[in-house]
Amino acid sequence: MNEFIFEVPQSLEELAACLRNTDSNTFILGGGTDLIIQLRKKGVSGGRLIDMTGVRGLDEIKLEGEQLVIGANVTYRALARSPLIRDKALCLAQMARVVGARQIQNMARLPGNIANASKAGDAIPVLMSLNGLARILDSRGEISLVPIQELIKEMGKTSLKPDEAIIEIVIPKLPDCARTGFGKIGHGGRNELTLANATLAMVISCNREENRIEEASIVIGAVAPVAYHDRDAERLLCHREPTAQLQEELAELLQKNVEAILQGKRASLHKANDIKALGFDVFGNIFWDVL
Amino acid sequence: MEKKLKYIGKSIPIHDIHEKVTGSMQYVGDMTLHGMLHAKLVLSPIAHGRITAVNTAKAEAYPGVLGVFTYKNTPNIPYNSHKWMEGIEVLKDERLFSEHVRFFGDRVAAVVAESKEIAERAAGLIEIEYQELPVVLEPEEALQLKENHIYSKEIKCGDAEQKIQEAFVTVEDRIETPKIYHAAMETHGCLAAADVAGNITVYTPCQVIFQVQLIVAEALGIPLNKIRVIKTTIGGSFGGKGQPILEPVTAFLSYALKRPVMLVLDRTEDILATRTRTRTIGRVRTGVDKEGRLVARDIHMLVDTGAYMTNGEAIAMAMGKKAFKLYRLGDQRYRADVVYTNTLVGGACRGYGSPQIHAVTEINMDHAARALGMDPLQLRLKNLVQPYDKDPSGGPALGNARILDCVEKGRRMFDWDRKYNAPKEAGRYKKGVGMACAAHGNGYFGAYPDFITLSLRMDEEGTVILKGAFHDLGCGTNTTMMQIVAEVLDIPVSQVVVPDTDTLISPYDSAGTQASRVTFVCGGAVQRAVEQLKGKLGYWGSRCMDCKEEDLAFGEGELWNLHQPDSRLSYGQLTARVQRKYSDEISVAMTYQSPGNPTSYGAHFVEVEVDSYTGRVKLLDYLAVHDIGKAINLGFVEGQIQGAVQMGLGMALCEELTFDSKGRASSARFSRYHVLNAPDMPEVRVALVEDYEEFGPFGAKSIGEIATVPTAPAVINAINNALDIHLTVLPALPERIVEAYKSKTKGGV
Repeated sequence: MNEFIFEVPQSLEELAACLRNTDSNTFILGGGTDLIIQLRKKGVSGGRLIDMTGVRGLDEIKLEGEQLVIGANVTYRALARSPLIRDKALCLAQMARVVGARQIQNMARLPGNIANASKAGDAIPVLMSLNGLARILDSRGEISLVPIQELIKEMGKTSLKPDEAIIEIVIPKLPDCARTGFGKIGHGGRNELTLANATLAMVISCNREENRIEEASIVIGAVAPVAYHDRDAERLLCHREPTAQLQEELAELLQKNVEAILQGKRASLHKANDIKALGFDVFGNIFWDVL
Repeated sequence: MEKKLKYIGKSIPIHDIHEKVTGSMQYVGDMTLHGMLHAKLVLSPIAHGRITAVNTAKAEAYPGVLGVFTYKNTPNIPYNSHKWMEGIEVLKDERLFSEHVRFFGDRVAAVVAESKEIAERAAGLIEIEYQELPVVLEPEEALQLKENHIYSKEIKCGDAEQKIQEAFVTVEDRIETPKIYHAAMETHGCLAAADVAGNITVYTPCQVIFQVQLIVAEALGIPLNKIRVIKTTIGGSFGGKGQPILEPVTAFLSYALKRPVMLVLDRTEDILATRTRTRTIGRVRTGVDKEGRLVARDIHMLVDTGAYMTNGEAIAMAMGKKAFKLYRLGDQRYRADVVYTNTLVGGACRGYGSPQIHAVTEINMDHAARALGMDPLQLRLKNLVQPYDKDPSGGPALGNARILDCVEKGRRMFDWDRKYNAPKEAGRYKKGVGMACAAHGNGYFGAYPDFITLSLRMDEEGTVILKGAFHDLGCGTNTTMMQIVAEVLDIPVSQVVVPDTDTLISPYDSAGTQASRVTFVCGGAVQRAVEQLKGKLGYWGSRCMDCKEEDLAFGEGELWNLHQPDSRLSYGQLTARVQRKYSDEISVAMTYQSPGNPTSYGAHFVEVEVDSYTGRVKLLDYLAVHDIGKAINLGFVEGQIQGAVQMGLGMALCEELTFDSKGRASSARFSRYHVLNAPDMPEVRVALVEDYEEFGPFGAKSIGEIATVPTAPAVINAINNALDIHLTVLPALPERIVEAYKSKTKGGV
């Protein structure tokens, strides 16, 4: 096939219809910041492109009950600027501000990051730390809700079927006392606009009256093939007071665990240094008023 | 009183600014010719081996393919793409296509087809089998192998070996500089169009049209007069487009098929299959006395030229010459060895070895200062050359060498004394300051022929047409020449026309845009030629206006009789009158030989903040001070320095071409090869020392290459100062910094 068929569904019904008869040359197009590069790289010169951006109602950030719902067409730029996101899940806004460059932020959307399951995907650790879910539409028009953590199987692979598309991201309500944060350090010696060398997302519930951490969710990205919770670090924080001492302990533990994961791979050891710094910085930022 | 300059020293926009900012400028990749075909290269997937079988049948049978080429059906004439003029002795080891592949990225085949897409698909159908051979990746290993060690050189003055024994302190370093990609925005591309008579026109963004003509002729085995080379607008070069790489290949493909052929590389191909800054390993021993005076120095540079010789020898020579032009050192020995490795090919890269050797010697200078417990700026002040010093190795005289002024000016502007002596703060983030000095030349005088032929003609409207083989690389060469003409004649810059550079139209130039020669040599030639043209205006003016030449005044495109101010002729009117009345024209053609090769100098100052957890470096302040003689175009000079600092920072902090154990390049894309982006750049402050250099146009000398030279050692010295460590491997990647810092805190360094 030497031509592209371009379909622009306007509604979820039309999207479901488009998802029928999909094959290996059917591609779902959002912002296109990853897809177009992939198509060029693989020399794909024909196929079906289903452009999600025409589907009405998927460009909203809203509350559904107490859950935060982010439409598939919400760009990173919109995420970064949303007062609702800043209020309910600050780490998402922090992440959206450092994804690629401004041009990428203006075009890219969360589902692309999830569907690509890239090791360096900035959104994945944040969504995992928030226990985020993907709302998925299939070709029969049925909708399911799948935790992001379960959706991502391995680097570059998800459990998404060819006739499925992510239409929304759902973030369950966080406790009122929750604080969130995100940090990223890029590849190489540069400080800006780089692929992630290491990312860290942190969601911490802290009882203010007792000044004690009740629960912690810490997810590390770009280190292992798939983002993962550092359960040791989460346990370390539970029932502890947020202090400078704890900040140091956390940073050291995160570094030690990354070193263990990398098993002495020399080329990647700087990731352990980066995680130490991220642990220190993100924790410090979350508890800026306490430390 | 000095005459007030009207156009020199001003910031005048580049001549093609309108086309560039509106996107209407055509680069070679934008061009189309009737019947044009597209080529795609096939590059070697292994770093060393011999081709044992090639099957091109499937590719040849692919619809739309017009030709498939390998070593089997192309000329097997060895050449060296570095050779820029006939008679220069070079080792010839390149061919259009390789049977014996020497690096990951070596050219093994090309497909020519009706479209780029067809060529790409067909290229994937070529089946090549290789017999793999052992790879040599490390230059120190290569030095032990007779077949890899290809050149040695020594330059010396005095007796360094003896004198160094008398030193109070001797500091010794082994310092590595990386293989670096030029990273021009425009990748390499070429369009060649052969006619039925076998004449080939080559359109290329190049630095030396006559070199392209020479190499195409050599590689194809056809006469020079069959080849016309037209330089296209260039989207950055930095030395990377200095050697003809695609030109002989594209010319041959077109010659074979008798149709125009376009070949444009993608980014990965551009990284792999063009040229790089040569990797070096420098060893230096410096002896100093108690007061901090340099006693003697012994330098050895190991030059990794990669898989082909290209300019390995010239780089080794060029580095050595710089070593004798910065400090007063009567006893010094410089040695260099050049080796082949199975890695990407070395070539010209902004500074031509100067950034490498200065990284080695300037980091070593700070080491010496630490050993003496002395401020490194003070150590330099005690030893830097002074105006009109001689080169003790016998090279061209240094000219009006104003490096001491640069250092003193930088010291004040940067507030060096306060910053250097500030107590170090405890904590995770450490601040430090560093500086470095550098020297660079102005052309080839003293080493190779350095001349340019120009023609100038005044037309009937008072416009000057200046023909010369100028190769504007995007940094304003043409406008610089136009400013010189405008200043001498007092006409608007817009009334000077510089035609495109073309072997059929442009008079011969011996070296093109190389060796920091353009402003000093070509600009000097333009000033001389336009002064001759002005002399002709005077001669003909006196005859037409019936007065003595000394009674004539010139200004704003006119000349008049001082005793009869109403008797005036515009330059255009005079030209027309000379043509009608005397059957002559007002024009000049001349060949200008460069009269010297003074040294340009620079001193850079930088303040950094280093995150001791991650090894990330933040640039807090940057000041570049340059001894430039006279800035012809202030904006261009500042732009050159800003861009050069960006390149130098990459060498210091993040740019490095790396290879796996089989020699496969592991950073052949921008997501893995890191250049500093605009948001990473500090504000670069620029200061100039303008003190007039004899022979330079209006006193000007070079800036394009020198400006990148002090950057990397200044940054490394600042990091070393911040953390009290001694980094010796560039770039200072975060992990290298953390490792050095950890070693120190464990009592290592």
